[in-house]
Amino acid sequence: MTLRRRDLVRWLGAGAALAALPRPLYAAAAAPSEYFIFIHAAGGWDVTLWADPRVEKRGLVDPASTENTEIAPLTRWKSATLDGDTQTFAPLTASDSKLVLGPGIGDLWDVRSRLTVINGLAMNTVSHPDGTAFCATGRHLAGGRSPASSIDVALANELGTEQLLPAVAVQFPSAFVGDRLDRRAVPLRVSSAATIAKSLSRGTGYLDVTDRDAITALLSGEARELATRVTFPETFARVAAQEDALPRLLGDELAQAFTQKALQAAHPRFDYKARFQAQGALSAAFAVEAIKRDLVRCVGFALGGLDTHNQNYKQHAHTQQELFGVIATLVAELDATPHPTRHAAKLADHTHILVFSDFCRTPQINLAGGRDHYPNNSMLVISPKFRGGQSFGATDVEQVLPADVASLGRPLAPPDVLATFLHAFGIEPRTYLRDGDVIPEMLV
Amino acid sequence: MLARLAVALTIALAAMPEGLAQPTLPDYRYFRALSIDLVGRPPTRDELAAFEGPGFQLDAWLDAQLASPGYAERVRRIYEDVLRLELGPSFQFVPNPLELRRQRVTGPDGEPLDVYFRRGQRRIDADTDGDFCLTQAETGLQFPANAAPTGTAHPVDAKVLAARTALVKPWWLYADARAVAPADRVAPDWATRFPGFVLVPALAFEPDGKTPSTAVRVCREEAQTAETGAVYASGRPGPKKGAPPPAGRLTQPPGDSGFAKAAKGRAVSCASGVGFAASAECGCGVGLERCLPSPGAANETAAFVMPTHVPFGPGLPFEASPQPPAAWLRMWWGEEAKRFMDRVFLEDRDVRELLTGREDQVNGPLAQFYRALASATCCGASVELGYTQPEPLVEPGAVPEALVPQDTATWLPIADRGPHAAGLLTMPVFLTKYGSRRARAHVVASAFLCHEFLADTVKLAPSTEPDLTKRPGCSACHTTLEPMAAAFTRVSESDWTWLPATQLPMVLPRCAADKAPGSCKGYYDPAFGNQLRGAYAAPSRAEAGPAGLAAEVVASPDFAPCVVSTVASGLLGRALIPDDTAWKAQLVGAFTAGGYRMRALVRAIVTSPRYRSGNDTRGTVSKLSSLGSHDPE
Amino acid sequence: MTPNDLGPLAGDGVKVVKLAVLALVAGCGASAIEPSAPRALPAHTTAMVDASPKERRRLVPPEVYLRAYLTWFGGLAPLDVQARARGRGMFDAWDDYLAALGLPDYRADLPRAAQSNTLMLATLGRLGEALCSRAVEHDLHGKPPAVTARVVFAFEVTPAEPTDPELAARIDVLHRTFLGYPLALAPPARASKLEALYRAVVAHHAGVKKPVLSPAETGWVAVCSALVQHPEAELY
Repeated sequence: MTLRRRDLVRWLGAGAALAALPRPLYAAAAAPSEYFIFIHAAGGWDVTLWADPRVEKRGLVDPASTENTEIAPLTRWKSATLDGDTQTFAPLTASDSKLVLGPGIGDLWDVRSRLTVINGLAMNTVSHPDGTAFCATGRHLAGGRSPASSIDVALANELGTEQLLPAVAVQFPSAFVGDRLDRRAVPLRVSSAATIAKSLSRGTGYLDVTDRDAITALLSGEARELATRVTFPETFARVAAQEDALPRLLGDELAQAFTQKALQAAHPRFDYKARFQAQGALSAAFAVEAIKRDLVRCVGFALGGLDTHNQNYKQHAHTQQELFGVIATLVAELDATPHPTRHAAKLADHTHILVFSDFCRTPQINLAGGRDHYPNNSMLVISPKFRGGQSFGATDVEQVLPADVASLGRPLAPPDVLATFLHAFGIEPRTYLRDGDVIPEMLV
Repeated sequence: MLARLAVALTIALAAMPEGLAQPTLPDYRYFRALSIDLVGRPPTRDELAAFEGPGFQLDAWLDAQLASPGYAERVRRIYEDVLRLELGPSFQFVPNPLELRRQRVTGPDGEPLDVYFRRGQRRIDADTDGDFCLTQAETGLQFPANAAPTGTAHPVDAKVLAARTALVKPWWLYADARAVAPADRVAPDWATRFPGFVLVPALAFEPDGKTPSTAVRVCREEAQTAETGAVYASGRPGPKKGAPPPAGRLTQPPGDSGFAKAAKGRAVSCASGVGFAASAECGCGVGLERCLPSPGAANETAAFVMPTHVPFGPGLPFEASPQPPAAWLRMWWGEEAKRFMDRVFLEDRDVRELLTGREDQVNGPLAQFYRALASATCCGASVELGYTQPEPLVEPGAVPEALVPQDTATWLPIADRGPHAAGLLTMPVFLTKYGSRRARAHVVASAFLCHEFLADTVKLAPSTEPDLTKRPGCSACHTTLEPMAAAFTRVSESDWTWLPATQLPMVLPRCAADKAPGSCKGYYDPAFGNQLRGAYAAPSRAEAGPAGLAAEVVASPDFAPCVVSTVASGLLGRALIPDDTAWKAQLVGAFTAGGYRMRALVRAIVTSPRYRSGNDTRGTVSKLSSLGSHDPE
Repeated sequence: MTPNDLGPLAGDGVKVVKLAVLALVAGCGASAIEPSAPRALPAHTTAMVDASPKERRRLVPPEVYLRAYLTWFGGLAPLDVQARARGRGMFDAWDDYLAALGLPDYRADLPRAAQSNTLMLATLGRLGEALCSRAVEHDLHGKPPAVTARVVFAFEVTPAEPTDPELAARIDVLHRTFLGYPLALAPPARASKLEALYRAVVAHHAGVKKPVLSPAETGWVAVCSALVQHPEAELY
């Protein structure tokens, strides 16, 4: 679906009303039993294979075809003639959804009525780190550093500071910026979910829990004491807060629950031997397990393998299929898992997933048989707060560039999605975002 | 006036002898910070005792540390954080000319037998040309690409085996593989002679897993040692489209390229990809030094048990695991850049050499790479345009002959890599980490001019303008980026192959003609008058190359402030702010006046009040003011 | 310059000279102002005003922590440390900890961590415990080497329970090792807190059947662990 003028008028009306709302309304809307999963599809995805399908040669557009794509592993690829012997795909449609998607979506197509797709996001960058930061924080990098906190940190700061692990980032581009945030919201950044268990486990035979608690208490007290003796106390105060959290984190229970073996046993539906996303499957299992135990507020992780400039583009659609397959399993796991604090609710009712990539790939195939970086993008939201089975935003037909949204006078951009996401949970976007407008039309 | 007098008097008083006193807490913390930044670890108890002793001279201690490897490593780390010059597994490097794969057949004695071969090796025999050197009829097996054989094996006839293969004592088993009778075989003492060089067992032992290998069996063509080979044209008619492969083969034999037909019999270098693709007389050279072993048929089969986490270099690994041959090269490319930076900082050379220096240091694996491997990626489709003789970024003749491939420990200088060399910019790790011309220019602008490409407010609109310096929305960044990227026009993307003007001029008449050969497409851009790709925004800079760009960058007024800013931010742990403007200007002045030496810059930073107070200690203030400082505070 | 020049506080004589000069400066300033009737100066005490520039403490680079760790392990190579530290579940593999410590991975373009987090502290704690227990085994347990050959616990221990001054002197050795300055310069309560920790752990482990280490040795593991992961060890 593309944006319609009347929709935008409605949005703007709602936006104006929103702008006039006093802060307390936001504060009252806090949602402490919600969970968030952020997924970075690392490398830059080809949106014409899923969110914004293209099946004819037009302008710059050279669609996915049997000449540039290995179609054998693709479960949702239905061939359609492109040119002579060359086949492209038939877009996926269904009567119960307004979405039109490409075969890269894989098994996630089964939950199409819950998908909110945002197309035509203006990136104004084709740099991996910059595009990633722009999607995660709403700001471009400045001096190689992120000038704003990422969306997971913002939500952890607002809704997660009481959690043991407010924000966990497994190769996710989290950024904690500024002095105004609660120090407990500093994201716990790791390279792999399995390493968390290794750091939490403790040996036997020397110190025991009592000893360790005494040490941690001493260190926490020391940090607080030092905070009183310096000009900038926040560094020591942050350490004190982290020391305070440690005793609840350490111990056999969590260390055992987060081992690779335990995660795989507890969540056998994920494909841990997937060709491209085996590591991501473990991250997703960790997310479910940590949420199920009410330990976290936000989990961010990366699913990768999308940077396909040359012949490896042939596997791009398969990589996407695996990537969305992990998310499909994640949704199924959330559907099957009871909410830890809300009676009779399932996790999926209160877990909100946002998926983004660095940018998209060129509509044309390059000389090496791949696609390069392109300053357009799409995002995916799976959330009970968002209108499912819909797509928003649009691109032009011939060059797959973000199209202006008439009433806004500009295309959509990542800050708009982030602002809408924060707003959905009663958080004033301007607290965290310099740019971006709330798009109420996306929300239920 | 009075205020100035008061300040002057206060400073004068601060410099007055204070009498005997023990170091204070800020003194200890300052000393610890200096140790952390310049030694690379906190002070030991003995070092603290020396610091507290009556004879301790902080000035002298500082000078000593600023000449130590710890200091060089610290500064290098600041630049590593910016440049990230290490390659991960996403950069697959498996060119067919280099990778000596292995298939297992059944030997004449009925025992398993490993035979090494190269995918795509040219052979005169049409049954095996471009494929494994033993046929299905001879082995009972078929040999699919990148996979283990299929079928039911039977023993290979001894005469066939002798005719098709040869026994070679290869470089990975013999340090003296170039000798007539190699004898310095892999042994326990290699662990100390060649630290980090560890073969996977599959390379060191026969198929029984117990018997140490003393030689390897290699297809006869791969075992050839000639430096040049004659271009081979089979004269076979090309297969019809869709025709099945000949009996016993899984693929069609290679056809004759236009180059092969035109240059049949001409000599080509066997070190180049051209020799591999076009001659049946080119093999892996003496001791197989032009190839890397891979104990399997698939891509990326593990060959070396090598360090994989090396924050302190390959000599002190934090993890070692079996890795493919490409990982071996990737690691040493990264180490080359680190050593290059270390040398600039440790010897206090002109920092501009990071971009302009033509010297280098190499160890055995790098010497092997430059001597025998680097040309293998030359020259792709440009062969059809006449580029057949590789023009290297590093003159192979400049590489020390004495270094054997497994000598990881000995680093010898290369006085001059050649006229195209430009510091880090022409090193393999840089050119492959940043594969495209624009990526290369971007990182140069970001790391050495502190210039970011951001277009926060412009709007991209559909446009057919191919010139990104003019295209609406793109121009904001590309006006700067494209001319810089043009400097890398003559270095192949994701590769280090130089595209010389003598063979690939800026405009090649053949490629500007109406019916240009298909191979033109990869090199010449029809959107810009059929100029060499990437040059359109600055053809003169394209001819000047990376060395020309380097000269421009170091002459830029932004270069020295960027160095100062980068290093000061790294040591202070924060970005510089407007309050730092005067201090930064003073540092820049001293840095440039002093000949762009890092040691003086770091000394000025770590003796400045900003750094000295970096530990945020409230209370009494130390008097370390006798240390020279350019800080106006 | 010698450390004797480092003293921040001038001797009394110098302080008087300074005050006199400053008073002179102040007096000169006053002469340019319209005269007025003299008033009694208010009583005041001399306050040391710290007007020096300040910076936030920064995280010790993980490379520095790792190098120090290897040094405290007796200068062993990383893989030797890994082999030595294993046993009784004290250590897995370096690869499991490097990212949690904040080490960048240039191959994957993962930047270094600039701020601590809870998992980093947990990792520092795990590594610290491994170091301290192995160091006690080497330096204090069984037939220990001479004090000069001890890597971490470079002090004599006696069978008798140490007095408070004895204990403070021994803790000072560890304090200097891990934090880089004497215990005497630390906030006043630190010594007593560490002494209390030692005595609490010793008491807690008294009577444990078939202990790996004696209660006193376990007490040193605790003090060592506390100092090696102390906030001041982590920051600079």
